[in-house]
Amino acid sequence: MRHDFGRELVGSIADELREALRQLISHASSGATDIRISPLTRTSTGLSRENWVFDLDWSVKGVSARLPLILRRDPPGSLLQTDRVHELGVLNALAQSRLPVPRVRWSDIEGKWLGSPSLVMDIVEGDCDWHVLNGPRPLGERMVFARDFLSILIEIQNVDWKHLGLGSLLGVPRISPAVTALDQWEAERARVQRESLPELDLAGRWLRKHARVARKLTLVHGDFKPGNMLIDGRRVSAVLDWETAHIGDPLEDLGWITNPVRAAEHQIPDHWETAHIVEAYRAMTGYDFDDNELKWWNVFSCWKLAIIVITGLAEGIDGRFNRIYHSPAWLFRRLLKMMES
Amino acid sequence: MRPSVREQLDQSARLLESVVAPAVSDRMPHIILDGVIDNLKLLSDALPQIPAFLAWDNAAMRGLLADFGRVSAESRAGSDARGEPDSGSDLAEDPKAEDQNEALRQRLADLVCSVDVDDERLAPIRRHLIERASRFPLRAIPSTPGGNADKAS
Repeated sequence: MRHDFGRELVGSIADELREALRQLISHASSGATDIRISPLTRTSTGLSRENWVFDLDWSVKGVSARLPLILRRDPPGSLLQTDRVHELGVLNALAQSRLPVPRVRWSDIEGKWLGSPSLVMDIVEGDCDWHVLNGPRPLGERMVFARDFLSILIEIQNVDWKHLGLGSLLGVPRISPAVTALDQWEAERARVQRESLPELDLAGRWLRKHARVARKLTLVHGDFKPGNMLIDGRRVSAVLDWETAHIGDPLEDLGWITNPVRAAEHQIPDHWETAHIVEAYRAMTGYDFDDNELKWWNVFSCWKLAIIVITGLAEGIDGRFNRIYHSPAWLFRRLLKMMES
Repeated sequence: MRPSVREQLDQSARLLESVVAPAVSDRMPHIILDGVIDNLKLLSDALPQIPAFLAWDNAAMRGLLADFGRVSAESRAGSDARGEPDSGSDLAEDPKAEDQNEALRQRLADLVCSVDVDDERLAPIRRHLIERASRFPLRAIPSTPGGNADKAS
């Protein structure tokens, strides 16, 4: 059962999904009875996955209960081709950590029930606020969030990934994580590129030439940003979207949040800019590195983001993604200028 | 030819914005509709600029490639021989110019991937590509999160 987004207004699709969910839950929960699924509502967050929220009413051992849940399902087209097995494994592993991650209730990795790889998770209280750091909240409150985000990033890097079995699940880079990341995203680029892009070739050449060896390996989120967190009042209630998590260089996520093209999301002008973030990171971790190491990951972040954009562009051209993407000229300019500086 | 392509794009955007959008209550379709309207407006603005942009880019790339001995002097003068496209033309895209642009960009890509070219010699190419990005007519700068390009997940 694969549906394009353009057809999702048709009520029967949501009804089909409801019935498929009911069957999945019934199959996976032998003691459950009276399973009822509320109408599904598609949320607007998440461009690489379909997110549907619903309530489950059921009885387990004679006790009735209601669970607010979210279904995350792979769409026909996406910004990212990611592995749902990895995301499930990471979420299950991190359930043992102190990190706030949603609980996975059921999974349909092969899409046997729901038509494409899917996870059913508890809904966590909170809202997604992409621009919480530059929104209407008072500066003091925004600064607390900024520091909390950095603390969470460091908490991710402190996860004992070996103990949690994440090395065998995600793979450990045998060479430099920088080169591994380059190889991985070059492969993605080869899959999606529809025209010559000398900008990315030039940046790729620069990245290969300047790639460094990592000083240590940590868990990397891969897309750490306010838009992938839920905020409940004044606290972060969940870190979401672990589909690109991997083992790599801790500077990768730091480079992602200090990437100048994403400053509107990650930084507060004059108060929480790259220099402040780096200073706080060094103070909180004791981890030292030179500025060029971080710059490499800034350039990489920009280059990777351009590849993500051309993935959306290609999926749109192929009719699998319902947004119109353009060549990321705005990113090329910043990318090439960063290499110049 | 009336309505011109640009006038038709403008009318399409106006109808979607003023007639269709108010009747769309679901959030996701509304976000997508907003994106379509923005894209029509972008096209309306960009379309007349494309011929001149391609002519400039092609000429600049021929010059750069000639400096590396990758095109002949005759090819270098190719764009001039064909003449500048009419920047006021309503039918903005010239398939020949676009094909030439892709061919030249491929050669530029091959050049920057060459291991036998020093990094320093690539500086003019980098400068051209920065300039090209600044002039690119279909240059949509996204706004997060619903806008073009920003979401990685």
